Amino acid sequence: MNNRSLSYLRLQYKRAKKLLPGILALFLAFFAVITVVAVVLYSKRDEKDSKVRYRIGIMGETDSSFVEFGIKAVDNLDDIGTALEFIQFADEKEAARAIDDNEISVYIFIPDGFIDSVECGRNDIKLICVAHERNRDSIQAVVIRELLYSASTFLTASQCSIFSLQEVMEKSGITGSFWEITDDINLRLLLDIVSRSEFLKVKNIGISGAEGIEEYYFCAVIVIMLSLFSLAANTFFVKKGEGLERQLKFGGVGTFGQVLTEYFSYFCVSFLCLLAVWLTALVIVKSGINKSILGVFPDRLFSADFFWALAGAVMIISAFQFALYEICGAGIGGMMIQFVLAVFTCFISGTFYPISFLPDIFDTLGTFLPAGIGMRFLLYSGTEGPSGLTVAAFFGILLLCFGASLYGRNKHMERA
Amino acid sequence: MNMRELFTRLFLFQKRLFKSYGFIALFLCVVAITVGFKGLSSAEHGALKISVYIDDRADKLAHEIKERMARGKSLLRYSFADSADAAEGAVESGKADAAWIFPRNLAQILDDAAAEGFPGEAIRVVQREETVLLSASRNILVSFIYPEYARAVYEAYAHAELGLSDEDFALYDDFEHMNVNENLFEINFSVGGSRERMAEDINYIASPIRGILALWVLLCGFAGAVYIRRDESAGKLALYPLTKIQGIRAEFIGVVVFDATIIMGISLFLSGIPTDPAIDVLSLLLYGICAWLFTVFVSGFFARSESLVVFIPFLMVASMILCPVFIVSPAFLEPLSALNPAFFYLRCVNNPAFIFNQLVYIPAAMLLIVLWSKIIKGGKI
Repeated sequence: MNNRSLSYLRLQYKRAKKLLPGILALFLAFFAVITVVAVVLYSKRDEKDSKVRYRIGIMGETDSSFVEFGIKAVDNLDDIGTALEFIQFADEKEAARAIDDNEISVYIFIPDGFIDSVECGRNDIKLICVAHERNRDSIQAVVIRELLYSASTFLTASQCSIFSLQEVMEKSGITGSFWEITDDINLRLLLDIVSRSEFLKVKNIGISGAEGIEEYYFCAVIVIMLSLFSLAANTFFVKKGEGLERQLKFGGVGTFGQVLTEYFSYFCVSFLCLLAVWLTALVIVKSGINKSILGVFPDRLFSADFFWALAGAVMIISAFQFALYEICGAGIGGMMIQFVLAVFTCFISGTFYPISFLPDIFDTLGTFLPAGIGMRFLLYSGTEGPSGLTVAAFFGILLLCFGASLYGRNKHMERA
Repeated sequence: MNMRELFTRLFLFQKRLFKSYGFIALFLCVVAITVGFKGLSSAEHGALKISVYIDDRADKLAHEIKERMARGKSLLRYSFADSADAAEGAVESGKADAAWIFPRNLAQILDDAAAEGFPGEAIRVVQREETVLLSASRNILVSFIYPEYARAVYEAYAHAELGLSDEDFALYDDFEHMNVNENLFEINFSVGGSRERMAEDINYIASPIRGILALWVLLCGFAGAVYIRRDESAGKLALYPLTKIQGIRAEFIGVVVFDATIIMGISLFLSGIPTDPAIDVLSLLLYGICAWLFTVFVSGFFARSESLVVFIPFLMVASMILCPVFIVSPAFLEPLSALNPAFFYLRCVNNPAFIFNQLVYIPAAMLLIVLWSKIIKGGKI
């Protein structure tokens, strides 16, 4: 690097120093907002057994011993169904209000005649499961739907068994102990549904080499903030005059030097902002208040390995943003494209929903997207580390971004 | 106000925007990304990946279960491992959330369980850590075998309690023809809304697209505000009297928001996200107006375009949290959410009653803009 390039680097340093306080303040404000929301959402988790329970309201024909037994079984005996907790409501208005206030996930209305319909096998009256419209496209809705389908299978398979036995008894002329045997098989099947975990032998192998949910979202929030950082740092890119770039070139600072110097300066500002957030998180974790309000974060999130993973994530994401600004400019179009790409690449990379929730193609695409590469760096630092493909994609995308930045800068200068 | 002059100005603004190929490319890019994303989201997905080892070579029941798993669309995504070790290995390496390892002779084990109590050799479930979703997934697992078990219980009763021989039982057995309606539940998303949709339509991956686009329209409005202010600073509006500058800013923002709203509508239409055309067109049009007024009002607080630029990302993050894009924010935040027009629009999709809120929002925002500019700022720009 020649002397003129070094002078330009010093100039960039001064510029970065001037812009840093504003950008940093904004970044910390982001962090504060996200932390508050995370605390609010996390506080909804059940402290008793440290996992979310889907609270389900029950109303309608609940005075039947059949329903009472079912509720009691799920609440006290059912070891698989611990994700469910039933709350009885006197009327539909009260249940609807509870849904509106997020106190329960759904309520199940048992219509009059439902128990009779099940007992005689008609099944023509259905249980109505009512949810809030705002949760219609949520994962919660999918889980509840699946739980209801399973419950339906248990009940109807038991019905088939009971009615078939009754038919056999009728055909073979057994009348004396007809109801005694019916009650017996009924009770047996009900108890078997309740203790259905006996069919399974569950082994938890822990989360070594893989992330827990708190860890996952910690990394995801970092990647989201980094991806939106380009909007906060828009001022970084708007002051440059196209003529200035040309003048610099004539003055001995070539395209390569300009791009490298400016990118380095942008990288430093991004990294410093992120470090400030990371250190704030470290202070929160060291103070121990996170344990009750945000769950437990493992030490690896504050290790040297994680620090280097952060540097890698900032490097690739900021290179992508830099290239986009060089190509699209920092005007109206540039900002819009930054936002759209930031949100969609974050989504595809599994930051808003865990990647396991998304189709496999998202995982494959994520390996080649800056946000996805950053996410993988953070997730696997200190454990098995990012895969060879991720590292190769990191260097490939970095070079591509740098090439695109050089191309964009040259085009600017041609137009100027 | 001279309408001809106004329309000429709007036309010139529009012409200026569309003179830039980048602007057109950006809009096309948004449409392409949306359509592509919707296409990708329709690929097989589920909240959990389950690695299954089931030896179905000699077991008819195992074969049936495997077929049902391969067919079914649910919370779970199945992959079939060649061995129990491979299934467990998938969990250890993080490629699967749980492994289900079925024993050999599953049907025989269920018969024994029905006759003598629960089996000694059960289905092995290997998972990383207990979560609500994994607990729910085990219900699904048991539901695969339960119908066969219930049948085995019935057969055991017929033999043990009724004392029927195999020949007699074969004579009376009518289990296969027992017609019982299999679905006992009806799911209804009606609290706070009135538009019903089948539970099968749930697509949690595609649903945020509408929210992202709604926020993008807001961003376009703010970007327009920044753009016109930079024009002002560059002296491009010097020919206009100072009293007209505020109106011109609003007009330019309006043009940008209008274009973005049209592009949003086209993107939603082409991506085929479930819609009710009449309600959607109306709520989108109202949203365009609300987003325009919101942008004009909020940008009015900032004297310099630089401060506005700094504020935009903060607003975008806050909007993503407050509006139902990815998460449903807690109920106590709703008064804050209601300030953002995207909140009403996104609620409108499921509940047309929110059109009323949009209609109220428009005069309220207009009133605030007038108050802000005339009273508080004393008509100053």
